[in-house]
Parts: sequence; C-alpha cells; structure tokens
Amino acid sequence: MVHAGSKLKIIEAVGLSKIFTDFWFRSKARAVDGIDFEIEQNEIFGLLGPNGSGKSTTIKMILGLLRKTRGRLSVFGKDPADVSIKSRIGYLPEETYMYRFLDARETLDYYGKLFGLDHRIRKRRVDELLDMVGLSEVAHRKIGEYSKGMARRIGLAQALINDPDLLILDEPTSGLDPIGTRQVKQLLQELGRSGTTILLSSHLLSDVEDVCDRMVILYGGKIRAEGTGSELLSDTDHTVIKLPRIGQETVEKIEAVLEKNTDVRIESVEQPRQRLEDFFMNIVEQARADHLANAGAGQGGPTAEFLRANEPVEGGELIDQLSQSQQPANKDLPKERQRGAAAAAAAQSRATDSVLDELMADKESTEATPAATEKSAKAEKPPEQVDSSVIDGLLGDEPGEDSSRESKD
Amino acid sequence: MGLFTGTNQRLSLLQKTSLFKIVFIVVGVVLVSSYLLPASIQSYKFEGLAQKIFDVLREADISKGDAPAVQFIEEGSVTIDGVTYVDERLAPIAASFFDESGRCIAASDATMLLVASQKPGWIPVFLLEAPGFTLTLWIALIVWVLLVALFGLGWNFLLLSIVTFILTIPFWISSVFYGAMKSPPNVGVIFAIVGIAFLAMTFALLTRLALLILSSPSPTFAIAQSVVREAVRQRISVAFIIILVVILPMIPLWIDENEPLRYQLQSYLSRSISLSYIILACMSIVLGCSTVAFEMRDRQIWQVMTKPVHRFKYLIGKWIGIVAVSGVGIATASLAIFISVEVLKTRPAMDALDDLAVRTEVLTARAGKLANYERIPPGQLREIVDGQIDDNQELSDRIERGDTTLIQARSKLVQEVIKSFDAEQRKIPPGGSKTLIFSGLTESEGQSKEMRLRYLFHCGSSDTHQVHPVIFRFPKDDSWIDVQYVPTVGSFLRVPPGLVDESGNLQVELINSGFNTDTETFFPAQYSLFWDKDKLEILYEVSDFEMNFFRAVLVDWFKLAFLGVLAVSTACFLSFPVACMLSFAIFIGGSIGPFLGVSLTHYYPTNFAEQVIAAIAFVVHSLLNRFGEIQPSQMLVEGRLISWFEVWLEFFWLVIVWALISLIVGFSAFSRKELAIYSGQG
Repeated sequence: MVHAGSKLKIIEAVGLSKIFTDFWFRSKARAVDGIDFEIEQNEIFGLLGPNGSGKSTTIKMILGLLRKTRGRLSVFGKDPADVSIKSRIGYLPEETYMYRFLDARETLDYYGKLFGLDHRIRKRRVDELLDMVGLSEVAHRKIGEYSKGMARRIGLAQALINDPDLLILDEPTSGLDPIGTRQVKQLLQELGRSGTTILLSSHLLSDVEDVCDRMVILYGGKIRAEGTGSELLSDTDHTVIKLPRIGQETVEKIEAVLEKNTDVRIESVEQPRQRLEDFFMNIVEQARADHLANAGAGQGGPTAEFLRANEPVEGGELIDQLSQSQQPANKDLPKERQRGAAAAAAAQSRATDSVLDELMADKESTEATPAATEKSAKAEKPPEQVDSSVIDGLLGDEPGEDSSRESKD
Repeated sequence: MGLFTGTNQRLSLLQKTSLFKIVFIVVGVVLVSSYLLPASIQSYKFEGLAQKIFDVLREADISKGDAPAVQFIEEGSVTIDGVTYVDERLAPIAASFFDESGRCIAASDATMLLVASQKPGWIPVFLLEAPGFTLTLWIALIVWVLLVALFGLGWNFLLLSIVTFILTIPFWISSVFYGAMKSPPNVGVIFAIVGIAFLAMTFALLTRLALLILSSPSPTFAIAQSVVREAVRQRISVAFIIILVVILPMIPLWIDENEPLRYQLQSYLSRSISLSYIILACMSIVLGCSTVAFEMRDRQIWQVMTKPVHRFKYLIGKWIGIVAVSGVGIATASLAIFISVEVLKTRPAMDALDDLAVRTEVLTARAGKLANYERIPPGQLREIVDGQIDDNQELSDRIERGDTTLIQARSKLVQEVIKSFDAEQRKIPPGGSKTLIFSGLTESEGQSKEMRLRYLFHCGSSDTHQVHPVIFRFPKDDSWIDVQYVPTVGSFLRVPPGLVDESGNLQVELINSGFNTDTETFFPAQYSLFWDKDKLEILYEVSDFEMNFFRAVLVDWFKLAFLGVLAVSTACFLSFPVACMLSFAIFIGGSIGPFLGVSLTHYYPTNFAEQVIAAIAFVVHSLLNRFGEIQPSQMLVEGRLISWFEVWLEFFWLVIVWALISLIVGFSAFSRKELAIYSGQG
C-alpha cells in the first residue's frame, strides 16, 4: 500500500456535501453528506458503495461538473472549476457519452485537440491507444455503431489520451467482458506503478479489491468505512495453511497434532476452486491459440508506449527535461515531468558511458515489462509473517520430502 | 452487390493514394482545359470582333459619305482587318440604323446581327458572350479538380458522375428519338440533375476545406470542427442541406420562359436567394440549438467540460462551427445561383427594351437618391399650432375641462401640421408645377451611362385603368418630356448624366400638365398629382452585378452568423424546442422589423389590448429592426447597390455587437449552470 502522509495531496475533501434542490430551492436529495477524504499522489483510491450512495456525485464535484453545497474540495490544490487543472485529469464516466457521428479515430483525435496536443503526438497516441484497447480494426466505424463494451474501450482510451496525472474512472469495467475487465485491471495497476493517481468508483467489489490501495465505502452520502484493503478485509481470527493435496488420513493426523499441542481445532478443510475468471480466460486463450474468429473489438494490445513513459521526446522538450534533471528530484512534480526527468537522466548517462547505457536500457526494459507478464502489485507484496515452526512441527518433514509424500498419496 | 461493395471499398481506398490523385489531376485538367481554354480564347476573340464592328459603325457618318457607312447601307456588311462580315438581311433595312444627321444610332443592334453568323456552334451562348465568366469558370474548375483530388474524393466524384449520367439517360434518349432535346423541360431537367450532382460535390469539397481550415490543435477550433462534422452527419442538419442542394438547381424549371427576360431573372434571383437564405437560417438555428442542447441532454458535454476547455471558448467554438457550416452552405448556393444567372441571362429577351432592362435594372448595382424636401421652419410651425389652438374653441374647452393637457394637444397638432406640410410638398395641383432637387450625385456626374428617374404617382381615385399626363422639365438645358403614367404603377425616365451640375445636383421640374402634339399646346391635368417620399428617386449605376452579388452574399452570411450565435446562446439555458422557438421568434421579428415600423406609423390603438400590441410591436421593431433593414435578395432583384459601407455596418452590428450581446447572455447562463444533474444514482 502506498500510504505516506508526506505525499502530495491530489484531492482533498473536508466536510464535502451536495444537496440537490428543486426549482424553488427546496431540498430534493442529500447526495453527499459531509464526507472527508484525501487522495495522495500515486495512490489508487477506491470509492465503493451501492447505487445512490454518492459516488458519482462526489466524482462530478471533483470534476467541476457539479458545485459543492458545503465543505471544502481541492484538486491539485485548486478549485475543481479551475480550467488549468483539467489538463492533468483523465475521466471516464459511468457510461460512454461520446459523439455518435464520429468514428473512434476522430473521437480520440478530437479529445487530443481539446488538450492542445499537436498533430504528431496525437497521431501516435491515437494509434497506440486504439491498439491498446483492441479497436484498431474498427477505428473507422462510427461510435454510434459500437457495442457497449466497445464504447467503453474507446471511453477508456479518451481518458488516457493526455497521459493524465489523475485518472478518474466511474465504473470502468461496466459493460466489459471478462477479458476486457482483466485488461483494464492490469492497465490500472500498471498506470498506478508508473505514477498515475487513480480514483476508481465502482459497486463491483472485486474491481476495487483487486486494484485499489485504499478505499472508502459510502452509503447514504456518508463514509461508512475507510482504509487499505488489508485493513478492511484481513481476517485476524483465522489462519489458512495452503498445501498440496493431502488425504483424509493426513488431515486427521494434523488435527491430532493440533489437539495435542494447542487448543486449536480445524474448523473446515476445503478443496480450493479455480476462479471462474481464470477458468474463462484459459478457454479464451485456447480459442485464440486455435485462431478462431470473433467479431467486434479485437484483443487488446500492450499498454500504450506513452503511458509507459516511453514516448519519444524531441527538441526543446528534451532540453527542458535535461535541465530539469539537474535539479534534485521533486516528488511534487507532475507525472510527465517526473518521467521527463528520469528520461533526461538516462539520456545524460548514455551520452557519457555506452556500457552504462546498455545496462540502463536493460534495466529500463525490465522495468517496463507489460503488466500481462507480471503478477499483480498485491501478489508481489511479501506475505505476512507467520510462525512456520508450527507447520514444520506438524509435518516433521522438509518441503522436498513433502512433495514425495504427496505423490505417494 | 457484394462485388460492387467490394470494388467500391477498394476504389475508395485507392482514391487516397498519390498515384490516383496525380492521374486524376492530369486527366481532369486536360479534360477541362481541352474545352474551356479554347472556348475562353474564342469568346475573347468574339468580344474583340464585336467591339471593332461596333466602333466602326459608331464612327460611321453617312452624311459625310464615310466608306463603312456606305458599305453597310449598300451591302449590309462591314470590313474589319480585310475580312468582310455580312448579313444579307441587313441591306434592305440598313438605312434605318442611321438618324437624320447621318450618325448610326443602333450600332449595338447592327453589331449583334453582324456577329451572329460568326458564332461557333460548339460554344453555348452563355460562354461565348461572357469571356470573363468563361475564363473564371475554367480556372474555377481546375481548382475544383485539384481539390477533389487532394481531398481524396476522386473516386466519389467519378461515381457521382456515373450515377448522374445514368439518371439523365432517359432524357437524352427522349431527346434523340423524339427530337425533344430542344424542348426546354428536357434540357432543364438534365441541367437540374447535373446541377444537383455538382452542388453535392461542391458542398462536400467546401466542407472538407472548412475541416482543413479548422484543423488547428486548439480546443476552440476542435469544437468548431466537430460541429461541422455533426452538421454533415446528423440527419437533422443533413435534411436542410439536401433540400438546398436538390431544390436550388430545380428553380429554373419553374421560371416561365415566356415572360420578359428581366422578370425571369428577377423571379430566379428572388426565389433562389430567399429560399437558400431561409433554408440556411433554419439550419443555423436548428443546428445551433441542437448542438448545445442535445450535448447537454446526452451528456457528451461532461466529456468536453472535464477537459481544459473554458466555457466561453466552448461557446465560441460552437459558434465558429455553425458559421463555417452556414458559410459552406451559402457559398455552395451562391455558386449555383451565380452560374444559373449567367446561363439565364443569355436566354432571348422579349425585345430591345427587355434586353436593356436586364442590363440596366436587374444585373447591375445602382445607387439611389431621393429628392430633397423642405422641413417646416420651427417658427412657422409654432405660429400655425398656436393659431390653431387659439382658433379651436372646442379644443380650448377640452383643455379647460381637463380632458386633455395643453402639451398633449400641442404634440398632436405638431404631428398633424408636419404631416400636412410634408404631404403638401409632394402634391401638385392641376396645371401646377414643383421643382425638386436631387443632391449628392457627384459620383454619377462623370459617368457616361445615363441615370434613371423612378417614379410612382397617385392621382384622383388612382384608377389603374386610366393614364394621366405629366411633364418632366430639366432646367439646366431647358429640355422637357411629356409622358403618360398609370397611377400606382411604377415607371422610369432616362436622364442623361450631363444634366447634373458641378455640385452634384440635379433639378427636375414636375409639371402636372400634358402636351397636345396636334395643337402643340399645353393643357392642365385633370387631378392633383401626389407621391410618396420614397417613390420618386434618381438611380444611377455605381457598381457591377457580380460584386453586388458578392456583397449580398456576405450580408446574408452575417445574418446567418448572428442566428447561429443566437441559437447557441439560447440553448445554454433553454431546452432544444424552447430555444428553437425563441430563436425563430427573434429571426421572424427581426425579418419583419421594417414592416412593423411602417405599420406602427399607421396604427392608432383605441383600447388597452391594442396598446399592448402596439407596445410589443414597438419593442420588437426598436430592438430588431436592423436585422431586416437590409434585404439583399430584394436589393439584388431591384438592381440596387449594397455598398461596402452597408456590408461593414452589418458586420459591426450583427457579428460584433449583437453576437457579443448574445454570447454574454448565453455565457452568463452557461457559466452558472451545473452540467451534471441529479440522476438518483448518487
């Protein structure tokens, strides 16, 4: 979990409330009721809650689409209505609201222009994003002809066209098939690692659980729980021991040992099941290996280069970044600047030492390995410290011997 | 169908390749030039020849025994550079082309007859007789071909040409087999079909051009570009474009060829300009309202306003987009109208007067000056009003009773006296006369072209079945002319430019009398003659039709631009139907503003309801009069000048002042608006 109090606060809400009124200014609904939260740089933050709990209203206030009724709300230290902060934000609404008369390429190009990106950068990013979301083959079809899932993909692509520092996603996996859902989760994890701050709103608990560092649970416009996934979800009353398959006889032996040495009894012994998502993905991967055709969106490609900080840097921008690299690292810098500083430092090293250059390149490429080949961020975290002596004592064998025993069983 | 679709897709891709573009340009330029370049050269030669013959005949003087005059009278021919041009039909009547002094007074008509035999059959008259137009058409078509190729529309153009050709086949066949080619409907239908295809392609090209111009990576232009795309892809606006592209080329089919040519041209100009303006005005309003209101309703605006786009820039972007679309529309329509006028004007005129009227009353740009009328001196006015109050015992009693105040009574009397004084200046009793001065004619003074005095008189019961005499006398050279006029029917009198004095004043004496040619005596008319202030006017040519047409297009475009910003602004705080209704109400109110102004001067409310109506009409007239003050189509029909001053004035008021006010109103509502709504979804 990224949880450093000294980090830059990207979003800060204090006593934030939103009351909708009717034409006569009579209170119609209290959608958000005095909530406090803050989202720090590089954090993946989850807003959880059932329908009507205030998630979307909170997001719309953050984006300046709604005005707060009470409280304080700042984004990048400024008022949400400030246009200057919008260039650092990417937003995917709960449904894809796009011009039905534009095709995918025109749509991304349009949003790129709204960010003032020049033609070359736009073209490169549009190509990479279309590849990434698997819409390259249907890029010239009008958005109005897209399925909901395809529209979601193009919606996600437009949210990333500016390589945002803050990515706000409202139900990002809504309408996506399991393949798309997994890709989105992997993408978010990768973006999180590369420095993007992400605010994820969802009522799909697994989305938030798989991706978020920290979360709040809203109900009736109020925060009911807040914390990291571990803080909120860990069951400190139980211990799970994962073993290769063992027979009933061994279970009974273990139970006997436990009874003899401790007061603990085994509550249940279960055969673990494969997750349906993993099972489904295996079938799809097999079908793809057999080259079976499928209509609509194609298989999503790797994460766009520019989102992985590998966008080519040219001319004045490079000089600017080189000059930045002379200064001490500033954790408050926008993400692009941080990346630019890193790229500039690498460029400077390459200029002085070709051997180092190769080494650096290797290192960079290793760091930039696509998320699909990596385990999730959570999987990489070290397991919680447990007293392994109990297990050793129970089995009385080395792990290698255990394997041989397993095979005998 | 599969084969066609596949081939079409392949060729659609092929048309974007450089090789295809190069081949298309080469073939297109060669084809266009192979016809229009020789046609252009030929038309210039033809014009030069006509001018030489005209010069020879104009200088020819039979009283001096000039050889060309003698040759023309004896043989009906003229020799230029060793080549003799002859029309045998001329010989018997050639003498009638000369007046008593021996000068050729109909050199122009004689020239037309002599060059008629020199007209090459392969060039249509409208090209042959208009070398400037032919050359412009050649250049324009080459640019057109280049744009078609560069925008990657070569195959689309060829496909459209093929479809157009197929559609015209039945008319070609009927022409060949039944000899109906010469019947106007067939030719007209073929022209209309080709015209529709040409307009559709031109519209597509200009749209691409607009998209290219708006391709800057700025949020404002990006939004404008998306509006252009929306306009050509959404049914609601495409419907207007289709109506425009289809109906405009068909209007000539509804013009009666048996009417005098000037009326044909006036009908065409009036219908085509008004129709295209109304269609584009409706489109601007509907598009302006829909692009903002629907974007809010359908929430696309969430995606836009969460980007670094200031709300004012958003509105400006929307407006620029609508201005671009209306610009493309009006440019396409104007091109069609201009070409049609060039073709229509070569139709045969009914007679020489009709031909002259076309050139001097319709396809021209004339400025007009009204006569100077005296204003009643304040002292005299006060004296008359005071006298009437003193003499009117009943009025004095009413003032004493308090039924009215002295101020109210004076005010009413002042208006009545001024009205009566003005009317008296435009009234001549039988046998009486009145000298009028038209000033500010300095720009017409040095012109060789004559001026025209346009008049519309009333007399007696203004029975249009009667004619009455009137004499126009010009004091400068003491010349006069007696004419017969029909009451309430407009007519004109030719006035030579030499009658304007050095100060730019023209004096005209109107004598309400007739002249008996038998007894050579004057006699007084039967009734008093009177006229409205704007019905006696001197007109003179100050510009040509082409530039006037261009200025008229600009004025219409400015009006459309205002309607666009009006629609965008109203949609900021109103839903689509209500915004449309308000915008259309302002459009209609503005268009009838001048009419309301005239109506109000004749409207005397008698009760509260009528006073409310008058008040509303007054407010509408006061606020919106400028919008309808200049009506380009009407001015073009009358051959009146739309000056650059008026164009810039329209630009200043409509595109700067009014548009800014609309934008401020729209922005103030838009900036306060919460773009998201309570959905119940939290």
